Amino acid sequence: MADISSQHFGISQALRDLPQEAPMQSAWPILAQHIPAKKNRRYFPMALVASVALLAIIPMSLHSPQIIKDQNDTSLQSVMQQSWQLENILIATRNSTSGNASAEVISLALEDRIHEIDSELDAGSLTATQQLGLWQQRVSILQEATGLYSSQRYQQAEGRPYEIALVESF
Amino acid sequence: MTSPFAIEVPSSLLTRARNGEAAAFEQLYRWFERPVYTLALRLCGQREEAQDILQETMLKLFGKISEFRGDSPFWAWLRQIAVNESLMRIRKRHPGNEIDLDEESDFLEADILLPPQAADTQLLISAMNQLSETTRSVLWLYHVEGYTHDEIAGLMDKTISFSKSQCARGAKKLRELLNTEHYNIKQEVLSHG
Repeated sequence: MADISSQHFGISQALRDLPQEAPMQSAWPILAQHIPAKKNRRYFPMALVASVALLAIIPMSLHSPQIIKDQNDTSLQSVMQQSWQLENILIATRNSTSGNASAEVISLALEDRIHEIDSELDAGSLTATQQLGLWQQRVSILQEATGLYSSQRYQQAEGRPYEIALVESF
Repeated sequence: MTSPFAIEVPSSLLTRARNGEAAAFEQLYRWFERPVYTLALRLCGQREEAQDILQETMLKLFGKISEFRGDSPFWAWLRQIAVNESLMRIRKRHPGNEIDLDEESDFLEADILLPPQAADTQLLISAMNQLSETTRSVLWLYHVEGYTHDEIAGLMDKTISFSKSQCARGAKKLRELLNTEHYNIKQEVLSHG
């Protein structure tokens, strides 16, 4: 062990070497009550009628490792990242317009399931395991939706009726 | 020089926070809880106040995150909120001008060497807490957070000379305090021996 009894320290180094301090109590329980209201994002109906151009952007398999990296990594951060990536794919289609009632019913049902999960996540007081479980459910639903849409787009691009594609795939 | 705040935040996390996701806000809180609290504690010197500053800073983060444009790193933006909140409280506690008027005193060597007892965390913190809040704040912002004298002068509505002077005299005072504290402790040990 080095003898520091005769060493002198530059003030910058000495101050930077001080340890970080932790608050007496977490401020999170109070802060959690002041989170701004979540924006209402009803993107699924628009996602359902994604333009064929989307096929040029999204690879045929939306479950491919190129889009969702490291699917075996089940850490909360990783699952949240997957959720965000999938969500962005759906949001990317928001400029489209829907004209199919059946598709909208399905999309709304999926969206409601997402909102239920979000409400549970917002409720707070969840254990890390519970949070992870909910985020995994969220990813699962988003994967279901993106898989459905890409499949339908593909079938439409082949000239098959949209309604038939819906019945077959859902 | 790397600030304890220098944590790279993924843009995806910021997007989710802007969309109001509670989990994203919680993640940001967890990452920046200690840097914000430590900065507030070093500047103000009181744990209760540092706790209040932590809470206020995070509330402002929640309310203003939609205004963050990404012109600077997120951590620098958040740090600025914490610094402003801390300095505002110091100013409130000392209405008018609690700051030393002797702005133009001769500048001593800025990065003065501290004695070996500076390696003792408790001694150094104790000595820091004996400095005035303003001097302590200037020292911390300059030496730890890497603010320039120009930036500190702007934050405190003072001159660059003022910042340099506070830095130099604060360092000198810190050295004296460390020697004194060390002497006092040795005397105490001897008297109990």
